[in-house]
Amino acid sequence: MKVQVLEWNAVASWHWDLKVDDSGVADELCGICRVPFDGTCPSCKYPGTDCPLILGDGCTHNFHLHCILKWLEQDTSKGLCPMCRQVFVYKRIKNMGTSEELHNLQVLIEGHKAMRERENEENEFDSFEDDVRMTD
Amino acid sequence: MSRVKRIAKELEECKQDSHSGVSLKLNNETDLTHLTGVFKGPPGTPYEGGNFQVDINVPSEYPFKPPQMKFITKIYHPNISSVTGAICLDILKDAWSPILTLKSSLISLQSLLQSPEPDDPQDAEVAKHYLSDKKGFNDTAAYWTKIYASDVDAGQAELSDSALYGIDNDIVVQFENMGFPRDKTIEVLRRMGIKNLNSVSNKSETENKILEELLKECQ
Amino acid sequence: MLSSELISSIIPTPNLSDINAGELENDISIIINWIKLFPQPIAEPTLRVKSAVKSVLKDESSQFQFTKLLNNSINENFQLEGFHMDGMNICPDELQGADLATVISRVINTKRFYDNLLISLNLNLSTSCLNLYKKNINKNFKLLIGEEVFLAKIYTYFDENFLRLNSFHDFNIILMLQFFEAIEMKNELNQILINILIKKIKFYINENFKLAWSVPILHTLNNFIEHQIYSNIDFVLKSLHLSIDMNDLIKIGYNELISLRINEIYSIIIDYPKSEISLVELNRCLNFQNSDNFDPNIEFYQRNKLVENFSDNVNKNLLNAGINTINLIKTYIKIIKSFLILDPKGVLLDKVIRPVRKYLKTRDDIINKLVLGLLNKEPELVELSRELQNTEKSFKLFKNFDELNDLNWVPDPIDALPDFKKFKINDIIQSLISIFDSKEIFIVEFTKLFGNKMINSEEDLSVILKMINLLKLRFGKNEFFNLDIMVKDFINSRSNRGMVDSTNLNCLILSHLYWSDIIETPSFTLHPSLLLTFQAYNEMYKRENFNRFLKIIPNFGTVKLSLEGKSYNVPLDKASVILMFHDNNEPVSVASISETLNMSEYFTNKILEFWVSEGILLKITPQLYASNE
Repeated sequence: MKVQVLEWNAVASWHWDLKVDDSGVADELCGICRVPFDGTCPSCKYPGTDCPLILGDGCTHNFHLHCILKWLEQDTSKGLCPMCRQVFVYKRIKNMGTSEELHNLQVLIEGHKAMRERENEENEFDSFEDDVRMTD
Repeated sequence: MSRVKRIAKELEECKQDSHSGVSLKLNNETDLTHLTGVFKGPPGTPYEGGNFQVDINVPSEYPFKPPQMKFITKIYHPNISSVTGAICLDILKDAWSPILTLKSSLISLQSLLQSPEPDDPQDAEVAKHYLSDKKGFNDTAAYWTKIYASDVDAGQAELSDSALYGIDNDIVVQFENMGFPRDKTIEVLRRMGIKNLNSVSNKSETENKILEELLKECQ
Repeated sequence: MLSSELISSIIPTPNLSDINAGELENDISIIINWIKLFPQPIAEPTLRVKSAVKSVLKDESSQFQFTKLLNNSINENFQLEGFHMDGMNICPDELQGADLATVISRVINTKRFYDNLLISLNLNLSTSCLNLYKKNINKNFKLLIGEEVFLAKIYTYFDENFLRLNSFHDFNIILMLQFFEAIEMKNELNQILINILIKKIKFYINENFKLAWSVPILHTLNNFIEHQIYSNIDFVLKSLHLSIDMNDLIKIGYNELISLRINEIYSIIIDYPKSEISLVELNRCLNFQNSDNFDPNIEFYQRNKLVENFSDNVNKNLLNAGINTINLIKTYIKIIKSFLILDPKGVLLDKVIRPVRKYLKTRDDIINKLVLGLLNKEPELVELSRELQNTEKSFKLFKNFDELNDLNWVPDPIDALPDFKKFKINDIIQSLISIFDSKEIFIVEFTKLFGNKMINSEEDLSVILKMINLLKLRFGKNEFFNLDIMVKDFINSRSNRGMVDSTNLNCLILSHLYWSDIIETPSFTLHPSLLLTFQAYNEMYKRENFNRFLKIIPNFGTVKLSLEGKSYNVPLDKASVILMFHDNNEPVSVASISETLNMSEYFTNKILEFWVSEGILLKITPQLYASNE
């Protein structure tokens, strides 16, 4: 007997493909807004393309793009990942976020980087001064 | 908007979790930004047996800025003001991260009770007590817990003004017998940072100094 | 403190028998004895009487003394014997049997006699003394007339002769009216007349307007009052120098009508909209204000009574298990519509609707019925969907109320309940929704309903969108964010179709978090060949959507199959089972299908039986099936 499929109207669901972390479990919630990644951040209406994720590079932590943007806008964030407090670096993936959003993200990350470098210099200077005082 | 949504979520999660020993409730059903947190004093510490209430104010930038917390229940702890309840804890300041929650902040407070950081004090007098006389500190902290943080009606526990400041009652009685009012004596001893005379090397000299101060005070 | 009553109770009033000494007392006694000769014709005064009169009249104080004693003597007479005239005693007891006209004329004659007595005797008393005397006479008559029996007689007389009053130029009536006026009992007569009018009007209303809810009647009632009541009493009133305002009569009529309608109110509202005109007219009656004797207490009382009566009936007849939910909702709508006619401010509605709302909430199927009604899936509640479609009306309604509110602010009516909110319940849908503390329960229901329609392709998207927009107007735009996401999934998936035309697979791609109430955990795995097709599709999807992948939801969707020259449109489970027989003429065991498709044997069997009934498969043994070639 021949069974031929002429047409198939299927129903499926989409999911973010999340990398598993060290413990082998993929986090399902955005740590910042505590909403599942497959849902929207608090300021978006539609999930998915409109409310993309940003994947940490180096650390395995992921966030809604809009959530991490808001966090990095804070001076107190110092450009660190909210989860592991390493300097936050992200994976560049095509079509994840508008070019404007990605540009803003880049500017924020670089701003924090510059701030950190200035602080380091000051610290070095301070310790240099301390050294000078020591030798006096 | 994001603040309110998130607090609502946190409240829901907290309600479902009864194991943590930490609870949150709204001060007013229609306002999600003012809450009161309650947790138990950790066992094996002078705070054991106490229920501590914390006033929580959630800023509009939450969760990107930390919640403002302070103790409502009076507590004797180096990192908490014995007068205002203000808290010195890094995660409620610079070390805040949006992955922290109201519940996890309260748990951090709970562990702060377990391991005080006297080197970064909020209340200098208490910190000094902690560093100089650990046992005396523990007695006072336990006494405060009993008086202020226990379910037992405060009226039932006899309130002792000397114990409240960790001052050995014997010295107070000693000066009281000389005719000085009790409250003045305690005030002077507090000002001079003297809790007892047993550990002092030159006991009589210290006694004279106290006497001098008291005479000035009671002119 | 001493009062005149106190004194008189201690010291008895003097009368003739008390008089024995002193000249003045003697003279007075002589005169009064002489007067007492009547009712026989009064005799020519003797010299002694004449001299007594002279002495009594000589100064003011003697005159007063005389008048007082005369009055006392007359009072005693009245008390003992009623009053007589022409030798006849007309004690009040006798009034019952006697003809009123005769009695009245006799009373009037007697009154006249007394009124003129002093003058006819040429006793020139001072004006003050005459007044004192007259007052006393009036008092005595008033006491007599005030007797219930007498007034009842008057009432019957007017009642019986009512229709003839105006043409009835009977001497006695005019006299009687003058008489009532003379003894200052106009008010009592007026009350009698009003009572008669009320009786006439009440009778007319009950006789003609009971159950007459579908026709206007106020005009008829006004005519009756004006032409049959007012004009009949007009003459009587004029004669009495009394005036009853037409509007007062109309108010009397309206109050009677209100009482009647209050008793009928529950049936009237059940009869709505047929009874609409009676509600409009009842509202006019309730708000009718006659000239200046408007009494807010009456209005308050009527409104209270209306609410009380209706609520009693609601408790007895409506709020019980015997009434089905649809009828309850229908009645609820009637109550809102009709009470807003009765009282557009909504105060009465607010009161009567509360218990109904509380009760509706306890009905398990209420949400379901309301949702079906709103979406026009319940013919009995077509009114709800009509309301929903009628966006213009509801806006206008609100706007009007707003304007009214702004320009002419009035405080809440005094009988409003403390938590009464103005305009809260003037929209039927709003009112029904607000039975529940939150709208969410409806939103969830709508979301499920539309979700199911979309996932099963049961309704055209344009119809769904139109409905959603209407619902948004009522429930608020932001309440439907979940449904908005579902619709967007649906629209996006459609536009995907063109994109992947290389396969025969169309895929509805869901944002799963927002469909969680609809999608269930899968009960089987797809046939490998379908899985293969899906995987190819998934790869294509992944290429377009970085870092995203698809999961099939096997419980939904359909497959169009060609089988033995026939085509079938079946769900995925049926398709998966029959695909096990593709290119396979060997019998297949239930167990192996069940294992491959992760499907329970019970369920597998059921599907196999379906294909057997279609003539596609043959059941070889209970455990073995083969294609029917």
